[in-house]
Amino acid sequence: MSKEVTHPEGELMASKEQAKRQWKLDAISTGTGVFLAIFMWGHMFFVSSILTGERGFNWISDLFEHYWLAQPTLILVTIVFFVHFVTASRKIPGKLAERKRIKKLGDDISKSQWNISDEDREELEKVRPHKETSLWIWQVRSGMIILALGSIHLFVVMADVVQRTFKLGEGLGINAAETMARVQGGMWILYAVLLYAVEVHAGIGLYRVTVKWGLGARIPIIGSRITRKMAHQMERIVLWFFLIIGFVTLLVMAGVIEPPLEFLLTTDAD
Amino acid sequence: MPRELTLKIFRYDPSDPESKPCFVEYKMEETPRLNLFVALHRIRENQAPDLQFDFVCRAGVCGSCGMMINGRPTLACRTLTAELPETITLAPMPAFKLIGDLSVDTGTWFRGMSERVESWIHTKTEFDPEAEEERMDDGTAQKIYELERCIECGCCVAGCATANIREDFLGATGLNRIGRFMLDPRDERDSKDWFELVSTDEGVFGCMGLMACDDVCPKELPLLEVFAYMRRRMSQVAAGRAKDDAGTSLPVIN
Repeated sequence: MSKEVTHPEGELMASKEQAKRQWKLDAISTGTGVFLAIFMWGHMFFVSSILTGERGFNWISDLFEHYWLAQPTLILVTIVFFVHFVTASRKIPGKLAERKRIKKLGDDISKSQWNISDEDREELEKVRPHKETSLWIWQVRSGMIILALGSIHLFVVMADVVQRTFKLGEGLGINAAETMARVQGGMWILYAVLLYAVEVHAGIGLYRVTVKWGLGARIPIIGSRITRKMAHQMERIVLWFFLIIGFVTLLVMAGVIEPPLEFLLTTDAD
Repeated sequence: MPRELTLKIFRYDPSDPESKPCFVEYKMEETPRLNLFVALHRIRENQAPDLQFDFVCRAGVCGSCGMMINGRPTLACRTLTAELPETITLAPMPAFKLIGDLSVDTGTWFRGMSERVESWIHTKTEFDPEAEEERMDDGTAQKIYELERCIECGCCVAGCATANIREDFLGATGLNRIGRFMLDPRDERDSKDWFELVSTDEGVFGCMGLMACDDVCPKELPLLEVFAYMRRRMSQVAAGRAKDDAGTSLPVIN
């Protein structure tokens, strides 16, 4: 088994080193993906502070920028964002014919017709519905959208933060008024697409990561083993939870609806 | 009133330069409890004597009759026409060499996989024909048996997009085979040996987690659980914290 293989770069590389490299790449793409998903949850939580009105949103953004939390996070997330893109995209086949093959196979299996009642379907395991191959295609597509739109978003936010940190121009930093003006000025299209792409990408990604790495492992405290069904249900719940919060947040920013939780921060003095 | 079935069957003979790949339609009346094994035999008897397809056991044990039924890889002998719409499309499994029509050469593929996995017990212990066979813990034996149930039909390979585009990918059945030997306490290959074999792009880290293997396996092997276990174990090896538990912590039977 200690055969030597030729590395694409031309040098000989022991298969053990190559194996370690593949493990590392997979671990990095998985780790960065999970990190970004968790970051996005935190991000969504803080951005949705707009639901309590401009005051709540500004309070949080001021806090983050004043105490130097926003700046390093922004740099870290930008790095992780691109590392994830590089390591995860290595799985995308280079040839169009190969990508078409994946799509065709996924579509064929998911659309294969079986004339079976739902009760029988439960019993006949061979017609287990399959959509994960097609979902992978959607993961690639949403990933490409995030790469493009996410880069724009990162740049815009970075410009805001840099202005404030180095006191350039008006130097307001991230603030509700400017953000809302931007969203209402047409950027809502970008944010709506980005939001949907991120939630879909992260949802499918976390489901896949759980199945790939966690299946059969015991959940701490609860003690039961992780199953695919469990992972899938979790994904659905998380997906819809963040999609709904995200779109309500976006509607508030676009000025379509009033902040529904504004009463929380309203005092009699107002 | 019995249904009239239309079977659209892929026809192509690679050994005949005149032959062009195409789908040919065959019509037949559905009879009670008709399965595709019988349906194909009827077509061969009455309509197309040169139709090629593979069968041996007709009971879902030999793994010869794997084919794409309405786009899904599964065993023809275990598929009743009553489960399918009136038009049934049959194609040979991709990822394997086509012999002709619905017949593919899974043997060469599986032989190659077995050689790469070195699918035999690796031991330095001299075999003593006189000695009593060493006993195996019942739980371990059952776990091995669970993975050994693979009938090598090739459905998991045909349904796997990664195996479809990458010839060197070991496929679900290959990884399952590795899992089987990882579990076996008689096999003296340790975690570091396995790491070289499993941890490459041809092995478990080449898998993109598309899960089709798990959905189409006619024997319902716990494939995804085996792979998740392998990933965790290989990560322990890479991190230098390998436990040589011979895979006994693999929860294949719940």
